[in-house]
Amino acid sequence: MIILASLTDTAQGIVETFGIDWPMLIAQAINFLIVAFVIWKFAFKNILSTIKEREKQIADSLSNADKIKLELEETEKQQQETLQEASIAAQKTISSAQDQAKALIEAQKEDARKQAEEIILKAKLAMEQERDLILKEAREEIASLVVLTTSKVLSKDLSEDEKQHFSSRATEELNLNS
Amino acid sequence: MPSKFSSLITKLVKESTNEHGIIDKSLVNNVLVGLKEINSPMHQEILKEFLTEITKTLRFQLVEVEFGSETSKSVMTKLKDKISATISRPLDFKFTTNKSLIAGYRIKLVDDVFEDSVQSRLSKLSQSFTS
Repeated sequence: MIILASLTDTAQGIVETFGIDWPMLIAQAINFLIVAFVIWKFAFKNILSTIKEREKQIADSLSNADKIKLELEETEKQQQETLQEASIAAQKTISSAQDQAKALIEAQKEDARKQAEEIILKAKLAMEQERDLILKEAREEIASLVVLTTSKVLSKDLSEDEKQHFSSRATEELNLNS
Repeated sequence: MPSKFSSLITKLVKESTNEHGIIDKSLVNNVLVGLKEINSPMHQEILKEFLTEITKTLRFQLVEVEFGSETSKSVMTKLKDKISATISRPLDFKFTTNKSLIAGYRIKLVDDVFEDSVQSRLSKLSQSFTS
């Protein structure tokens, strides 16, 4: 009771100290509540709803941004892979082309070498044939000259007796069946 | 293929040969005169066939022998005998001298040529050089 009386005194003191007018305070409180209700009902609710919507949009945007970021990363990764694959394929193609070019050059070199060898062989053969022909012609010419000279010498130098002796010997050796 | 005059032609050719079986020019002339006198309508055909047969027979009878120099009768006779012994038909020998042979002989018998002369031996020698 003493405590209650003490509290009442304290409150009385505060009211007196701050000059509180209770009816005015109550009216202001009621006004405040009415204004607060109106604000809450017609403004604050919409604002909250808009804020929530904005928050949701931001969250969605962030989520989309993350998704996009992930997709971008994936795309970049795919691009890298594609580039890498393309690079590997290009390297392979270049390597293959280089190998083919080398093989072609080697084949052409081989062909050229074979052709050169063939030309040399043909030239050698032609030279040998030419030499053989010349030798043959020379032999024939010499033989012809030898025969001609010998014929002339024998015609002059052989006596009639020797010629008759030769004819006789040849006749004795005649054999028509051979 | 024997013609319709084959037996007549054979008889006429036989009439044209002497006792040695050799075609004789005078006997051929006699046959030709006889044919002309008969004056057969087939005269041309018979004459043509007769002359063809005579040419053929002469070709097979003729033996042309060339010597490189003047040759003795004995050598000629020996050669005749050797050829006649090998060839069974009658042969007509014709001997001539061909100085280009130098020495030895060359015999032409139908399409065959038999030669053993200094010239032929030199030719063989020449061929042996070139072959």
